[in-house]
Amino acid sequence: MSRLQQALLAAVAVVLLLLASLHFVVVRVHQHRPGGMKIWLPLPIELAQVGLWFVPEYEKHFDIDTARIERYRPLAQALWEGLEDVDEIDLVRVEGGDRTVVIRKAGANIVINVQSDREEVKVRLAMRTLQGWVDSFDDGRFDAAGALSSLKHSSGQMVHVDGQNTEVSLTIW
Amino acid sequence: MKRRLCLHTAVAASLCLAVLPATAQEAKPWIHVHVTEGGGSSRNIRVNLPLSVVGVALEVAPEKIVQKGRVRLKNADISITDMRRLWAALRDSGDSEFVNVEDGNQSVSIAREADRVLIKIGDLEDGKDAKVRVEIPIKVVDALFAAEGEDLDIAGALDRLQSERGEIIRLIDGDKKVRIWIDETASSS
Repeated sequence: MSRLQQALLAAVAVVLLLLASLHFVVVRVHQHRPGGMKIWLPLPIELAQVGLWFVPEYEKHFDIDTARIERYRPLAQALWEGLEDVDEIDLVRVEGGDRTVVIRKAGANIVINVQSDREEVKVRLAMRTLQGWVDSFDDGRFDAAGALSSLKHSSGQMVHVDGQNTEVSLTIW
Repeated sequence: MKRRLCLHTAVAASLCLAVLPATAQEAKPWIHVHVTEGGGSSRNIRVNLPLSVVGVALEVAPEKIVQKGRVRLKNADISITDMRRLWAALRDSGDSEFVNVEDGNQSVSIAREADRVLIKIGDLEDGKDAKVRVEIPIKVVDALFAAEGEDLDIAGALDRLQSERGEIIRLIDGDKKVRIWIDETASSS
């Protein structure tokens, strides 16, 4: 094997290792009809964070009205603490008509399921991700980098919407 | 060697025994709400939350609804001040019926049974069980009326509920059923 081939192999190995160490948000869109749109888009979280380094500090934080969200931070904190020792429980279950809504704690995740005749929505988020998002609203500002970083605490399918015509999912790898 | 092993086992067992009651004391109260709407809608709502969360929710609730843990009732048929006065006069009277109103074909009864206040609303014509039945622990009623004027001290009532276990409210209104209870199990059954 020539030196060039060795160098190429090493470069490929480094790239593969680098990719393996990255976290991806994979966006998948699939339209249920012949010739319908099919999108599969992996977005590396770390690269998005690196991208944020080049954004000026004053633009990295979005000046949105966060006071209302910050107000509920103690509630989120109480919820984390209250659910710490619980493995599985339906926190809220509403069944009626053609729709069932369930908010459930399952292990280290909060799972939201909305099921109706027309569509099914599943959201599965790690409690630590939610906690990170709540913490991203601080001092009247929203910290985008912090919120992005919190996604790394979740893994697997995060959002799955199965409508009559289109299926959309967000998965963390 | 054996003696040392026995000694270690005894120390470990005593430590476990010492920790057990502490763990039992730390059991967190959970509030469970079941609402069943009969009839055509047949909607069921179940909420299971740590009681501590409800307390914090009250603290962060918009001031339009709750101010400093107190709720002001508006457009009520009877003023809170009058209810408080009535409660102060009747709370120590032992098991008895405080109020019994028969108006048209409807009857309303408010009575004390042991450590609970029992409110029953029913149809006189039916002669069956009360359509609406509400049971509230006396401690909670005391706490509710601890505020002044036209306010109800919801935060105080919640504070009292921390030590309460069992059913707090059972409301049956025809097909509709509401049941609220507190226990130390994080399950909805």
